[in-house]
Amino acid sequence: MNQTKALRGKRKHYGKENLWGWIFTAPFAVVFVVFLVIPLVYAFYMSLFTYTQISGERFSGIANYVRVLTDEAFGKGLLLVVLYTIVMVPIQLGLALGLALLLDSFKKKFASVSRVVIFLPYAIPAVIGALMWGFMYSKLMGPFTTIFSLFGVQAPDFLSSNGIFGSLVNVVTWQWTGYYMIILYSALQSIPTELYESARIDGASELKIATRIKIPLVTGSLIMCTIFSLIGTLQFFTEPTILRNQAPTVIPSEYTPNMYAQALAFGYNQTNYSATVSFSLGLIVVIFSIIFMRLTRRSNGLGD
Amino acid sequence: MMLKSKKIFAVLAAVAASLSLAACGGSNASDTATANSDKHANDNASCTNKVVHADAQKVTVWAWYPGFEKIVDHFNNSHSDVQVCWNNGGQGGAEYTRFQNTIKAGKGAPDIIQLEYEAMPQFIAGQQKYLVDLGKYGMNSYKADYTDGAWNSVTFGSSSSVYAVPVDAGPFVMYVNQEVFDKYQVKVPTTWAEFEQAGKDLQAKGYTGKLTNWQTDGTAVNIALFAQKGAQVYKYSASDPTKVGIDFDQQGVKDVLSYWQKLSKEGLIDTADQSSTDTMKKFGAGDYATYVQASWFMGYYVKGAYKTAADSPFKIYEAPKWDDSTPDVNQGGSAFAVTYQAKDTKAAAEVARELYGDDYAQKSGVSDGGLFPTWKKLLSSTEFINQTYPYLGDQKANEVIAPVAKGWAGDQFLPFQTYAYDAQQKSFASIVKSGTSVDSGVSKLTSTLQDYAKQQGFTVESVK
Repeated sequence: MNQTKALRGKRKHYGKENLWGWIFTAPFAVVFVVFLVIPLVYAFYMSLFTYTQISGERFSGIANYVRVLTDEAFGKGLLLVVLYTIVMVPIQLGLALGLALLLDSFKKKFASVSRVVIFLPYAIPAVIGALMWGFMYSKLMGPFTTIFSLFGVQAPDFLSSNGIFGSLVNVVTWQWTGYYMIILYSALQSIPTELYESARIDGASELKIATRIKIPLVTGSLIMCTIFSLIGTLQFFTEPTILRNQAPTVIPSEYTPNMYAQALAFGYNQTNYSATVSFSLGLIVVIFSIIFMRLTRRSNGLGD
Repeated sequence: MMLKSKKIFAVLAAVAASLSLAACGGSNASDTATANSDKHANDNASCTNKVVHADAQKVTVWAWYPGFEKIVDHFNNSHSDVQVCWNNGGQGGAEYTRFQNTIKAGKGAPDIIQLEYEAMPQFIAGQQKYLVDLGKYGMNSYKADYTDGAWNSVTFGSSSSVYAVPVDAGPFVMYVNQEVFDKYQVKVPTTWAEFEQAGKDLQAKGYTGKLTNWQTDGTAVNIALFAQKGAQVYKYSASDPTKVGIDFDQQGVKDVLSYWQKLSKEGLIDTADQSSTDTMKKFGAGDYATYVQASWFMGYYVKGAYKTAADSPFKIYEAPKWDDSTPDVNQGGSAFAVTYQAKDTKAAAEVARELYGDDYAQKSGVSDGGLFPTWKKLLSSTEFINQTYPYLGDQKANEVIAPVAKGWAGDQFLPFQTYAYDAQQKSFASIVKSGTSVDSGVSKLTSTLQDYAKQQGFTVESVK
C-alpha cells in the first residue's frame, strides 16, 4: 500500500516535470506544427488526389506517385540537380575552406576586411543577386563583352544552352561561398592555439598544420556545410527562375524539380500533382541527406 | 519512446482526418454557372477607384487595361443606379492564377474579369463552367457591334452562348524599319517570298542587322503565322466541352516552320528570346529591319525602345502573305467575362457590356489605353482611320490595321493553353534554332499535347 502510494507520488512528480517541459516547448511546438507538420500532412493528403478539368478532383491513391516515377520532366530535372550538386558542392566548399584557412593565417586588418567582402554576397538577397548577374551576363549590356574584347577574344555566351550550367554554378558559388567560409572560419577560431604552438615546436610547417590539425578539427563543420549545400542544391529554384526571365528557351519551366512543382501548381493548374512532385523531391532530399550522414557518421558529430 | 511516437502519429492522423473532412465540405461548382441576385453583397467591397454614388449597387471588376481608371470614372459618373468597383487583379497569367485560386476557395472572385481570348477555354472546359453564358442575358442582340473574329473568339463555335464581351484585338501586321529600307533601297516585301529576298538583298548591300527576329519564346505569334497558311492547330468548342482537337502534323504548319528554319540557316534572321533585354536593345538600335507582330507591339515595345517619337524609324505595313488566299490573322486581345461567383449576375452582365459601350469609353480606350478596338462602328469612323501615330512618323496606321481587324475570322485555343505554349516553344525552338527535322518535331509535339489532353480527361478529336 505504502509502496504504491510512493510510486504514485513519484509518477505525479514526473508528470509535473513533463508538463513544464511541454509548456516551455509549446511556443516552438505550435509554430512547428502549424507551419511545418500540418502543411506537410496536407501536401501528402493532396498528393493522393487527382484533378482533371473534365472530372474534377478524385481520390487516386498512389497513382500520382506512379506517374512521378515515369515522368520524364521530373526525371530530367532531378538528374540535372544531382549534376549541379556533384559540381557545385565541392567547388563551394573547397573555396570556402581554402579562404577560411587563408584568413585564419593572416590575423591582420586585411583579413577582417576580406572576410566582410567575401561574406557580402550572402547578405544580398538571392533574387537581387540573380537579377544582377542576369544583367552582367547580357551580351549587349553586361561588362564581359568589353572585358573579353580587351584581350581580343569573344565573351562566352553565358545565357545559351551550353553556357547556362556554368553561369548558374557561378551565381550560386558567388552567393554562398562567403557563408560557408564564415562557418568554417569560426570553427577554426575555436581551435586552441596551444595545438599549433606544440606542432611548431615539433617542427611542423604551416601547410602541415593546416592539413593535419586544422582541417581534421573542423571536419564536423565541414560536413554540416556539405549537408546545407546538398539540400540547397537539390532544391535549386531561385536563381534559374530569375534567369528564366532573360532566357526562357534555355531554362524551361521544368528545369529543376522545384521549378516543375511551381509550374504545375501555378501554370498548369495541377495542384495535386504538384504536391506529389514536391513530396517526392522532399523524400529524395531526406534520403540523400541520410545517406550522406551515414557515410560520414564517424566524423560529423551528429550521430550517437 | 515508443509511446511518444505513437502519440505523435495519433495527432497527425487526427489532423489528417480533420483536413479531409474540411476538403469534403468544399463546395464543387455546379455544371453550369448559376445566376445570383444579391444586390448588396458588394456593399463593403474595397475599390481602387472612387465610387461616386455611395448608395448605389456595386459591381466588382478586375482589369489591367491601360487608362482603365478613366473608363471606370466615366461609367460611375454616368450611372446612378450601379457603380463599378475596380481593382487590378494582375496582368495576364498572374490574374488567371488568382482567379483559379478563388475558384478553389469558392469565393473571392470579382463579378467581372478581364480575360485574354486564349485564356478563356480553361475556365469553361469540362463539366465546370466558371464563366456565365451572356447569351442568356441578351448579349446575342449586340453581335453586329463587334468584328467577326472577336465575336467568334468569345462564342467558341456556339450559336447561342456568349462567354465574354469583346474589347480589344491584335491584328497581325509588319513593323518596318523605314530608314533601313530607304537607305539600302530595298522594296518593302508584301509576300513571304519577297520577305526572304529582301533579307538577302539587305545583306548583299551591306546591312549588318538582321531581317527580323523569329522569337524562340513566341506563343500566339506562331498560331497567327500558321493561321495565315490556313492551318488551325487547336480546336475547342464550348458546346462539346469534353473534346479538344490538336494537330501540328499538317502541311501548313510544316511549311511555316520549314520557312523559318531555312531563313535561320541562311543567317538572315535572329532567333533570340523576345523577353531578353538584349533583344529589345537590338530592336531599339535598328538591328532588325522588320518585326512581324500584332498591332499592340507599338504600345508595348516601340514606345519602350525609343526615347522620343521622332527617334522611331518604324512604320506599319500589311503582314507578308503567302498568296492571294492568305487570310487576315490576329495575335492576342481580351474581353470582359462575368464569373460564376458574380453577386448579381444580371447587373454584372449589363455592366460588362456597357463599360466600353459608348463613344467616349471606346475613344478613350483607343487614345488613352492604346487598345486596338473590336467595335465595328469605331473601326469604320473617319476619325479613327485618320488618326496619326507619332511613333510611326505620323502614319495613319489604322488605314492598314483596320481592314486586318475586320477580316480576321477568329482563332481557337485549348483549355490548357499555358502547357501547350510551353510545349510549343520547346519544339519550335529546337526546329528553327537547332535544326531538328520539321516532320519529327511536329509529330512529337502533337503526340505530347494529345497525351496531356487524354491525361486531363479530354477526348481527342480531329481539328477539322
